[in-house]
Amino acid sequence: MEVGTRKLLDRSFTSVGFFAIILMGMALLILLQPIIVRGLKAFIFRGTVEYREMSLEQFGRGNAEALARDLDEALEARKPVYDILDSFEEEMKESGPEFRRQYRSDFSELKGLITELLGPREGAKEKALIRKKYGQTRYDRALIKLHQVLFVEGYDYSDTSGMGKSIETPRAELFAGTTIERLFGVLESDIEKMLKPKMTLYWRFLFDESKDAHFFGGIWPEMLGTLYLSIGSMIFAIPLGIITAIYLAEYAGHGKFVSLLRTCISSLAGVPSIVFGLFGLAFFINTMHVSSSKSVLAGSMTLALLVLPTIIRASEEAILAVPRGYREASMSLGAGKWFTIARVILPAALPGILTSTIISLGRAAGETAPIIFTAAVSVGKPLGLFETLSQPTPALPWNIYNLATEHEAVDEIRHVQYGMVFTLVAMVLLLNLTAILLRARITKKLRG
Amino acid sequence: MDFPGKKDLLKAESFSVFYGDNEAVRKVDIEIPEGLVTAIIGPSGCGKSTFLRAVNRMNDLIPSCRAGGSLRLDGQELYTQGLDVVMLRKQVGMVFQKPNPFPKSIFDNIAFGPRIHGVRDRSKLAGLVEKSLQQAALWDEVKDRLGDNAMGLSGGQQQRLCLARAIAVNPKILLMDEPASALDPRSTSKIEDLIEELKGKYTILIVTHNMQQAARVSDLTAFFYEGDLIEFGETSQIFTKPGEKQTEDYITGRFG
Repeated sequence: MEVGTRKLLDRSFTSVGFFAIILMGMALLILLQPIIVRGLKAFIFRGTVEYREMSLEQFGRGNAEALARDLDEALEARKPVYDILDSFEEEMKESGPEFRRQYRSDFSELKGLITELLGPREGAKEKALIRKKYGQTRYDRALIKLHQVLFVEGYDYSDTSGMGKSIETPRAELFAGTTIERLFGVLESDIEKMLKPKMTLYWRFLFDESKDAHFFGGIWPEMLGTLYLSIGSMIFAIPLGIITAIYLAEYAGHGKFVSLLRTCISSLAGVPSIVFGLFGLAFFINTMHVSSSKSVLAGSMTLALLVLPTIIRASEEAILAVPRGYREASMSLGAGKWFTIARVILPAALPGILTSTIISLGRAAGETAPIIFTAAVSVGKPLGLFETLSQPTPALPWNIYNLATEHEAVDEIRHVQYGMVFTLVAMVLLLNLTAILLRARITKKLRG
Repeated sequence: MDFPGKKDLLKAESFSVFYGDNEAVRKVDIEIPEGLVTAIIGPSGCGKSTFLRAVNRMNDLIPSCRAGGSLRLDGQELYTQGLDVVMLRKQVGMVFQKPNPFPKSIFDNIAFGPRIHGVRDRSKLAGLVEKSLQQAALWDEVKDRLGDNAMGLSGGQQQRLCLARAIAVNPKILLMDEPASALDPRSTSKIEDLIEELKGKYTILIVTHNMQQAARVSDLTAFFYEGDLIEFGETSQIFTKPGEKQTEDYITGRFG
């Protein structure tokens, strides 16, 4: 090949590689950016006076006097709204049945929306559900709710060839010519005074229990559950995995049965995780009865099975990669096989074993399917250490899925879902970072 | 062969080593006297390393390997059932071709052998470490950094460390498998000086490709060719007037 051609090929290969790296970086950025930006909104947001009231009543936090002052001011600002509503009710009473029939349902819908926005009116009957006791706690949600108050969403089906088009008409048009027409202007201009939003840092999002199925509060039970499950799975997977790897690398030899065993272990790594989940249910819970129903214990065992092949293969590779010279030196000094493995080979293989372990830990923390049938519930208390033997737990991956698909008010609590995603990703990244640092330290120690 | 005042430490009688069906060492008879340096020379694949590794039964690591005939160390038959390999290897130190210190501290490297054989006392270990390092002429270079990782030493230092590690268990015989072949000339000459110094204290059996080295350091030389022991005698005699044609061809560089 000519020098020119070779150079050209070399250069184009370099640029392709470079381009691939840039592409990866961009993909990562595009992926991480919304996770971080939206996830942080669970922690940092503009909390309304309703949030502060909820915080004081449900968690006993915040300054009661400042809150009382804020509430007074907010109620003062809300007074015109209630005055208008009252005067319209008067108007309905005084007018004829025609008028009442025309406005009754629209008015009650409007009243409901305003209650959702500002919370129940003073003196109203105490509601049972926490979510009914307060108005919008987050200002971003309040603005969306306000939009719902101001506009009626309808669908235009005139074009039958496609889907109906969403059209918004001002709700004021429904009440044209009545006393209530003024209300919308008041709401729009004074909403800030009525809710008094303040920049809020809610770091306790991580350490609070959730109230009323994630409507309020934090994700501590989920986080704790994830920690229990990932650490629990490692308690089973690490010893078993390393012992198996030692056996395969040092004792098993190269027989037919052993190579079949190796193939099986490799194939096990490719089994879909939902299958592990069902197996865990069938084997650990229904057959072995490790717990009467779902439990952290059963979930940990299932996750351990899932990550075992990775740990075994990587540890075996790490053990086989230990230079033969170490083994020979140890043997020549009179060390037995077990002593050589424990004192020379395992320490030298430790970085490799550790890497596989931490990757597996991250995987166990993030897996959803294996814990659906074996460990996870959507709402629960944070568990004590011994309760993990018999109790199920909420866990981040499962609850992200649950909030996204099965929660009754998905749209209202997106921020919780994003907060969970952010926390889970941060946890896994943190674990990996620890692994990299630890590995670097041990490698440095081994190299001298 | 008779060497006045020297008793035979290692004695092979019709000793063979097989790898599967291949006879790598063929019915060798040799008597290696105590306290001298014996060099084993020969072209690649002649069985010299295999013979060396038979002495501390390192060949056991290779599954297809077995031995025939008799090999005795200090009167003790090595290839019998029920021989305690740990005790045997305590009496036989070995230095390998490539320096292979453990990725541990210098101290722990030297103390590895004594610890296996039950020395736990810290001050006793420290004494052993110092003595071994001094014998290996490494003490002055590393005495201030015994806690450092041995992998940080230079190649020559590493090899002397391995030598110190081998003599820390006070063996009767030291096996050296081309101990200088991976080293630069300066480090090589240091190792050769060391062999000179250790002579008398230990019986040394050294395999080497380097005939000048064999001529420089050894008292006796054995020439192996294709598994057979062709000639065994005093080094001066082997290198000046070899008794066999093959020996002469090899040392004059006609093959090998």
